[in-house]
Amino acid sequence: MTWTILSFVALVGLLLAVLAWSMRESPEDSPARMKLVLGTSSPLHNALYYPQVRRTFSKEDWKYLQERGSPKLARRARVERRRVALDYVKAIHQDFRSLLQIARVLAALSPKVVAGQEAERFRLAVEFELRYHVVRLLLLAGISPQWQLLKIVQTVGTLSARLDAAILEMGERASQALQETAGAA
Amino acid sequence: MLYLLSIQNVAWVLSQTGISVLLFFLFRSGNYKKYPLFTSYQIANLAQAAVLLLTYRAVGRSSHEAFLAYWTTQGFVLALRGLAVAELCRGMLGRFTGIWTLSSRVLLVCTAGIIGYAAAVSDWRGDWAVTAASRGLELAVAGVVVTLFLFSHYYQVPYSRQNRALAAGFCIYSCTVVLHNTFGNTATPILFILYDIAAMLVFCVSLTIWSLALRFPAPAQEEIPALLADDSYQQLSPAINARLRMLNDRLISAWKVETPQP
Repeated sequence: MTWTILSFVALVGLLLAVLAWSMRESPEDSPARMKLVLGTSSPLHNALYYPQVRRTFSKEDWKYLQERGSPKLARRARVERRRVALDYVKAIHQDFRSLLQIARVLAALSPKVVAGQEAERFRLAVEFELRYHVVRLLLLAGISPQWQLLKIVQTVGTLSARLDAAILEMGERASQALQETAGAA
Repeated sequence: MLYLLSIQNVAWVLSQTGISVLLFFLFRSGNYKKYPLFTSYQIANLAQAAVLLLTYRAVGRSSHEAFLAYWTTQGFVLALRGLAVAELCRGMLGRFTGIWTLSSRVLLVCTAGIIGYAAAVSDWRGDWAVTAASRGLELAVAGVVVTLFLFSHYYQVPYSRQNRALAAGFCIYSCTVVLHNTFGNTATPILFILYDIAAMLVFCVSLTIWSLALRFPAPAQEEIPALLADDSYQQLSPAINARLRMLNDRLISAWKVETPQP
């Protein structure tokens, strides 16, 4: 009996908390919320700087600094490396969110959506957010990532530019249409 | 005890006045056209009060007939509340055909899950069976409203102040009834009356939220322009997912870490 009471109290608390969270932005803010962070470049433009970032983390540079530079310089380099790593992870996060936003608006304006696609996107978003926060915490704790493993990034640059343009255009059109609708509502 | 019963009566009168004020606003602002099921739900609330008042006068408050009259009318009121929530869901997401089809399925699954859970953990013996059923349905109403807003938040669907107020009122009151039915099972008669008064006051809060939002006409919603062709989603959605996967993989790689060399 106690378990039943506790479970119902917990459920009610959870429901009210989630409702307050999902309603935290006022409806007047809705059109602003729907603005897509779109530029003239690809939604993955930050990720494309991977080669430059990777160069910053090359073992050769590190060895050179250890052999030729002072310990103070090596320490400073380590702090700088961490900052660059944090900025890069943050930029990937931005890319992910902007792409996700386009996908959501695309789904909202489509006459038909595929449940599987939406479920996969939701799962990816949850996984990404969790990983992003863990990686960020690790970096803040002074543990640097093994950037040599990040080879997948290079394949991003080889993706078709035509598709990039299509996604961007669709995102802009979707955003415009939703804002018009929200303005009328 | 008598003092408590008087307070209970005052709370009851207060709630009936609140319903009348809300109905006045609904008809004056013309919002009854936009929310016909919500208006019917409020009219049913008033009708139930009238039926119960007559029944209690005729056969007394604690008779079996009064019990039957209460739960029969409550069944109708609860059904209408469910329909009013469905009307809200459709009003918020109905314009977005694609996600409405998806969300209506998810909402149905959520409702079934919540009712199933409530049914599984409830005591179905004797008179408490109706309380258990009512609790399950109220929990489902709150669950549906919360899921609806999660959907709207996720897909960034705009919603009016009126819809927001309706949802908040439904959810707050349903959650209160769930707690009332849960604690009422084991409460002493005095505590039960206190819970009852608290539930009625929360209902008055919901009525105030609804009245404030519905005293002015709700803005007309325009149809979403036919922007995307059927195949746009089919072509672009998998491509976007592939890219999201790629970005995710990049973080998976970053997950594998090494301690920096001294």
